[in-house]
Amino acid sequence: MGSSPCIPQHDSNSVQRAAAIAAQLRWYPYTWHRPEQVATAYQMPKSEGFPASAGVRFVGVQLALKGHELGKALERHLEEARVAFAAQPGGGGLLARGEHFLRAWRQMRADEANRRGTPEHCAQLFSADAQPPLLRQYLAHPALRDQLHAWQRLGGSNPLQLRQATRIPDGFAVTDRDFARAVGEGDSLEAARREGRLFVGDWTMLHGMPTGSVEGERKYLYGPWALYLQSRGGAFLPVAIQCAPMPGPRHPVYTPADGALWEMAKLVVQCADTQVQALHLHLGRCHFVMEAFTLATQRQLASTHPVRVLLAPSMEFTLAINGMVRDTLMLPGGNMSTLLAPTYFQCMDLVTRSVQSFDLAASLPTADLAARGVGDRDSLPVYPWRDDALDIWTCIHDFVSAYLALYYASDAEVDGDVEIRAWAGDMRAQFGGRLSVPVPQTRAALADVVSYIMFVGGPLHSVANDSQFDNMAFAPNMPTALYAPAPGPDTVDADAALAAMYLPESMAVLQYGFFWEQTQLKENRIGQYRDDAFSDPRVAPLVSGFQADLMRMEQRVQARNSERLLPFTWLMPSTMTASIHA
Amino acid sequence: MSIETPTLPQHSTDSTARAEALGLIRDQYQYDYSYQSLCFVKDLPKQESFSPHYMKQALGGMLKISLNHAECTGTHLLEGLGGSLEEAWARFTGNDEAQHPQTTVLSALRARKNTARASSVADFEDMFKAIERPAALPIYQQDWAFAWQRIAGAVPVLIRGIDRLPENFPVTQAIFERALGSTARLDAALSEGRLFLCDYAMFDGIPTGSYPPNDADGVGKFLQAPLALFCAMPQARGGLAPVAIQCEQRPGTGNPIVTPADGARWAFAKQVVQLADANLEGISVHFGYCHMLIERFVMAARRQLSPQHPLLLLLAPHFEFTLAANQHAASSLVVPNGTQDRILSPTLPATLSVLRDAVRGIELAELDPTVDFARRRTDNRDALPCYPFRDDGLDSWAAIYQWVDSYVRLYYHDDADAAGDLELRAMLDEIGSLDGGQLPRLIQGERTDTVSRVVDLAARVIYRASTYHAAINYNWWDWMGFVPNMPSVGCRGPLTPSEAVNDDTLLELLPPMGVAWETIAQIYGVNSIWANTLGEYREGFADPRVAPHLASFQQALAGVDRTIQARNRERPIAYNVLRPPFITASINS
Repeated sequence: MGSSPCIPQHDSNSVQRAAAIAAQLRWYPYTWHRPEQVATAYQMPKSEGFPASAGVRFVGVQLALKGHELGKALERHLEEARVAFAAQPGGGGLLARGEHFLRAWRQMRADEANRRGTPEHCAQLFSADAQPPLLRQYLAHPALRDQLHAWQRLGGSNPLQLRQATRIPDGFAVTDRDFARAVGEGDSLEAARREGRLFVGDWTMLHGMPTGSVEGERKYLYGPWALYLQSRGGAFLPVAIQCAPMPGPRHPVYTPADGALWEMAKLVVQCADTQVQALHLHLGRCHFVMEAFTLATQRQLASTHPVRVLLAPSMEFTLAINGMVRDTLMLPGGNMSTLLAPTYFQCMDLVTRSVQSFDLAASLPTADLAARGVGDRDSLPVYPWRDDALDIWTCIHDFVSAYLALYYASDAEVDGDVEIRAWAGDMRAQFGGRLSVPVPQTRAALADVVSYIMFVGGPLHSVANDSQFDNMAFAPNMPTALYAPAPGPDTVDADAALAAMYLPESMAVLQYGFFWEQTQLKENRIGQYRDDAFSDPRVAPLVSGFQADLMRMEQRVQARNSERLLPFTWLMPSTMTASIHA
Repeated sequence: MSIETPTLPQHSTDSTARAEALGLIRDQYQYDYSYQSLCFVKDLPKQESFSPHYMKQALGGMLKISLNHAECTGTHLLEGLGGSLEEAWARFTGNDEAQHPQTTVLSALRARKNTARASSVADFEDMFKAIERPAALPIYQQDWAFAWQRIAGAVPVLIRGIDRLPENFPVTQAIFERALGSTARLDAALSEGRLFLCDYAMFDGIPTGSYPPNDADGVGKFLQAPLALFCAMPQARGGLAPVAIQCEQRPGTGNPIVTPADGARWAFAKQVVQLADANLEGISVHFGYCHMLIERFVMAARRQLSPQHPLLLLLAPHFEFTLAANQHAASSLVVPNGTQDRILSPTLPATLSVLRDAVRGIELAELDPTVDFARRRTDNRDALPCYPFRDDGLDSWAAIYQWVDSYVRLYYHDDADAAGDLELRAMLDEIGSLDGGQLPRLIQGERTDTVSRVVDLAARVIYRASTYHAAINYNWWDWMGFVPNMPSVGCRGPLTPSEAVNDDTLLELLPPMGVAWETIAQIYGVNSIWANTLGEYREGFADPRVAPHLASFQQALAGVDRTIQARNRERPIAYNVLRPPFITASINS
């Protein structure tokens, strides 16, 4: 529909085009206040909203969740009734027996209010036939739990946190003795470091962050370091954890040899990772970075600009979902601060810092992997995120480059495209997107920016969002908050202390439902375009090529998955959305 | 009510009861950031609301505005108010949800949608038939008055001394000579510290709205981000001469540097600066640096200092009606179609972004005027002999400081008393906390462990709430009440290098008459209110030891007033806003 896409310098109707852009600027005003300093839509045109059919599906998801929860509650009550009944003393009249039963059952209900979401209880929240692979392994093989913990740095819900440890961070007091206790003889800290096989997870930015409370229970959060090793035997293992970024007797280094204390330390790490996953990777680097991309695109590129035409599916419903997120999840008392450990404003501040520290050039997958020292397959042979993300990045980048070549005959045409310049300028401006984005002046630079935007809408958000049910719905794996202190010199009964760290059961149920719900709505798919998406007939063969590339990419992922500890399924194009809308 | 002896928390005989009482108070003072992340109190506690005396003054202002409007235009603004004065009075003061009189007048004006443009400046001059004419009216076109406003105008807090020119403002010796004559030397002026800059970079690239807001047929607004250079010289009237203006931040042929030798282009450039200055006043300086800042102190002090705390007893009179005034602003000033949206140039979200950044950028030390002037390199009286806001303000500061010092030392006998005052520490920490006042920069590195630091803190807060705010608030009418001097809405974009510029061009920049009427109503209404006076403590102090120190303070203020009156005789026009009898004790309008 409408005129064929072209860059502004080739548009014969430049007056009309400029007028249309002037109107766009009025339709999509920015505001920067919630999250603080982050560019969001001050008001949203109706055209950005979800269609009614999505609303129906959304209600369906809610109903399904309620149904599931009711079913589970019923199951639970019946089980309790059965236990209460079985505990009956023999004899007595019907009335006395009835009274006794009721008393026993009531007691059980009262106990439940104080019950912790232990692994046993939380596992019950899942339908037996819908247990995610991680949970199945977790339950079936307790001996594998250390490896599952380490695995999540590589193929979990936040696989972008790990760095190669070219040296042990100052203040992380892990010693050779700790290393030996963790992995035995035959390897050493220094050898592993020299050979590039040592990796560190750093969550110290969370240290000292004020935490909230829920239902009268105080929440705890720590800023730990964790050390990981690519062992000579080929396994990727956790070595040591220090729960705060200062050494000393208050903050001992724990290793897998420490039993329940070690389990507690792992929980500290997993909880820290949950905050970073949700607030930094998911909300910050996906939802709100994409909001700023979307606003600049809708404001500064004419509807016939080829880049806007290409990116439209990657931005579908993002303003709408972000509006909903801001109006429900991200309010004081909303699920964000109810579940997560920091106070509401601390949560919001982490999102702000996430967006403010974003740098597109440094975030390109190749650059990010290199900066973290995890690009090398020799020192780190198995890294699902790296291997699959680079694979799909290549597919996207090839498609985008070929598409842009249809419209830009030379680098000079990119440099001369005033809309692209205004677009990048708007993303960077103080009264614009406030993002660190380069101004593309060549076709290659433009391809990087455009590909990255598609990458955020698809793969990056997919790993952040779609993985949530598998890894995060089970609260004992990734607790949204801790409800007792980290292990330390004061810990007396480590088993009891560990149990006290788990969520109250009501929160564990909320966490389950929250992360299940997030993974249900999928309104589009990467590489799939509506018939009227491209009016230019030259694009169709490129789309076919892209789709074929994605299909082959998926086959490669499946092949890799067959050899992995757990399948990494969130970068499969066949189930990946094109845009952020859940 | 039993009057208890003021005590520091560590000397309290019943600290449990003290903490419990404070907990109850805390429930009444809840932070609310739900509107655009601005800080307000959730529900205004009864004891913070306006008094009948306050409402009477506000009502008086409203009546005068209405009478003036009727006199000038033949229509009055109070239609629908009710048949009698009694009825109107009851409406404003009779119930809990008393309407602020200003709201009535402003809504009447807003309903008119007056987008008519002035046919000449006389249209603006003829707006003062029943109210006093602003001081700017007869002098506003003169260069000395333009420079004077940097040191004694509506925004006397921006100007700063420079020892080299900013890279984006390449004023040359040739330009300098064109402005000040062939004997003027740029390098000498720089090295002698006589060059001063006003930089409005905060408005670079800011989106602008329309009047009325969000109206497709509205008048488009403009705002530029100029740089203006001034030179202190004894022969200039007021001691400061304007040198050059560059209307945008990035230098270039499309953005030339103009000087007083450039005729109508110079007059236009001055208007661009005055427009930016008016917006800075309306966004950052007045509501931000005064109202929103002191809101944080009121909230944290009420929530963390016990009613028995001697500092709260000292500060409370300086907090009078501040929460109420800000609550009124929350519904009339910062909202869509509110005062900022209508009679400032940027779009509302951009305005509020600048506002939030301004408040977040404040450091506690800057509340000390000696620090502020030193940081802005305006403290050297040899280089800049006349700076009324500084000269009168520092006298007032000295009196306040002496008073606070003698008061504080009645209760804090040594530094251990200061260090042990955990309520005071909690107050400061709360201002910096994201869960409290959200101003981490303000309190960064600030300690409360010596008596002199406690004195500093209290004196700074009192000075900002009284003297500093008075300089902004009560100079408003004289400089901004006459719109052609300091328009807050600009309706003309940048000049092109080739176009002819004349009086009509200047008129094009000025806003529609509706903006002018709303401006007058807003400012006159606010300036009608004088709820209290610096140095007067109506409730008094229960502790008899305070009285002699208070008497000394009042004497000192009387002395300051005499000094200022003597200075005024030397000034090109009087600077009366910092005469102590005219300084309000708190921010309340």
